[in-house]
Amino acid sequence: MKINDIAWILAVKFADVVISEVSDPLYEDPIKLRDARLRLPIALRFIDLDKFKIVKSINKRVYDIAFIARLEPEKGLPEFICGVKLLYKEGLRPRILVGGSGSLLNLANKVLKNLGAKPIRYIPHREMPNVLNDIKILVLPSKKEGVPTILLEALACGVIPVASKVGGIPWLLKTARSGILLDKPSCTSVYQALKYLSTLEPRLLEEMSRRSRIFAEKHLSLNSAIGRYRMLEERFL
Amino acid sequence: MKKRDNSSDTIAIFSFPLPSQSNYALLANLVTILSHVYSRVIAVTGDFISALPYVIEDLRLANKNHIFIYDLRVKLPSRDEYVPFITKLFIYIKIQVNIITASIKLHDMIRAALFFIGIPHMLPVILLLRLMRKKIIVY
Repeated sequence: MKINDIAWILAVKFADVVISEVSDPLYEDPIKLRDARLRLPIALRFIDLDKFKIVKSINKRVYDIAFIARLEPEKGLPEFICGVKLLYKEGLRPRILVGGSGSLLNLANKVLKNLGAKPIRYIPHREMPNVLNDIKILVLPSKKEGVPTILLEALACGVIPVASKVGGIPWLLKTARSGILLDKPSCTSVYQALKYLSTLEPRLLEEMSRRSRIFAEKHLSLNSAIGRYRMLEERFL
Repeated sequence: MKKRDNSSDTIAIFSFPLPSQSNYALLANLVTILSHVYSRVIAVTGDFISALPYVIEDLRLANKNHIFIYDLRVKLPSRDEYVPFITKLFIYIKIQVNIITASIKLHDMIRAALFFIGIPHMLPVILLLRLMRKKIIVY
C-alpha cells in the first residue's frame, strides 16, 4: 500500500462526513468507503444551465460523433478511433469531432486525417456551449473517471452520451435515461453503441436528447446543488 | 432552525495549491454553491487570486460578498514544467507550513472545514482541526 493511500484512509477515518460525486458505492474508490463514518453522495457539481442549454435540435447538429477529453490512453482515445474505424468499414460516414490535447495527439492527427477529421487542440470554455450544440453523440470510453464535467455540460446541451461504466457515470446515464453505458471501454463496445444509435429514428434521438436536458435541469442546477449542501449542513453538521 | 453565531456560519475550504486552471474551475464551482449556504466561505489555497481571471465566469452565480480567499502564497509548478527535486521539496514544506498556519489563524472563525483537492497531503491539518473540535468534511 502506498503512503498516499494510507494518508487517504486516515483522512477518511478522521472525517465526520465524506462527500462524493459518485452516487453508487459500487463504483466508488474503495479507499473513500473504508472506515468512513458517513458517506453522502451529495457533491455533484452544478452546471450553468443558462449557458449550457439546447440551442439546436439534435437532428440539425453538424457532428454525429465527438470525443472531447485529454488525448491520453486512459481516456479511451484508441478505443474510440478503433470503434469509428469499424463504422467506416461498414460504409457509414459519420462526421467526427475530436477535441483535446495530450500524448496521443500525433496518433489522433494521423488516424483522423484518413477519416476526414482533425483534432481541435484547444476549445475555450466559453465556446463549449456552441460546440456541444453541434454534437449529437459524445463518446467517453474512459478507463477511470469521477464525474467528468464535459459529460455534465453535454447532458445540459441535450447531447446523447456513450460512456464507460466507471465512477459517477453509471448513475448519471441510468438516471437520465439517455445514451448508452459501455460495459467495457473497448473498440467493439464503442462500435456497437454507435452502430445502434445510428439506426435510431430522428424522433427517438430527439427524445433521448430531451431526457438529457430534463436530467440536467433536475440534478445539475445551482439550486439543486445548494439544496444538497443545505441538507448536509442541517442534518449532519 | 439552528441559532448560529458568526463562526457557526463559516466554512473553510482547504485545497492544496492546484496545478491547472481546470482544477480552479472545480474549486470555483464548490465555492459558488457554498456561498449560498454559508454567510462566510473561506477558500484556503495558493494562487487562486491569479487564477481568478480564468474562473471569474465560473463564479458568475456566486454570492460574492460571502467569499473570502486566504492565499497560501505558494504556487505549484505546472505538470509540464521541469522542477528540480530540491525545489519541489522546498515548495512542499512551504505549503505544509503555510496551510497549518492558516488553520491555526482561522480556527476561531470556522465551525466546519471541507477538504477538497490534495487530501492525503493535508492530513496534518485534518488532525489539527479535529483536535480543535471542528467538523471535518472530506470531498
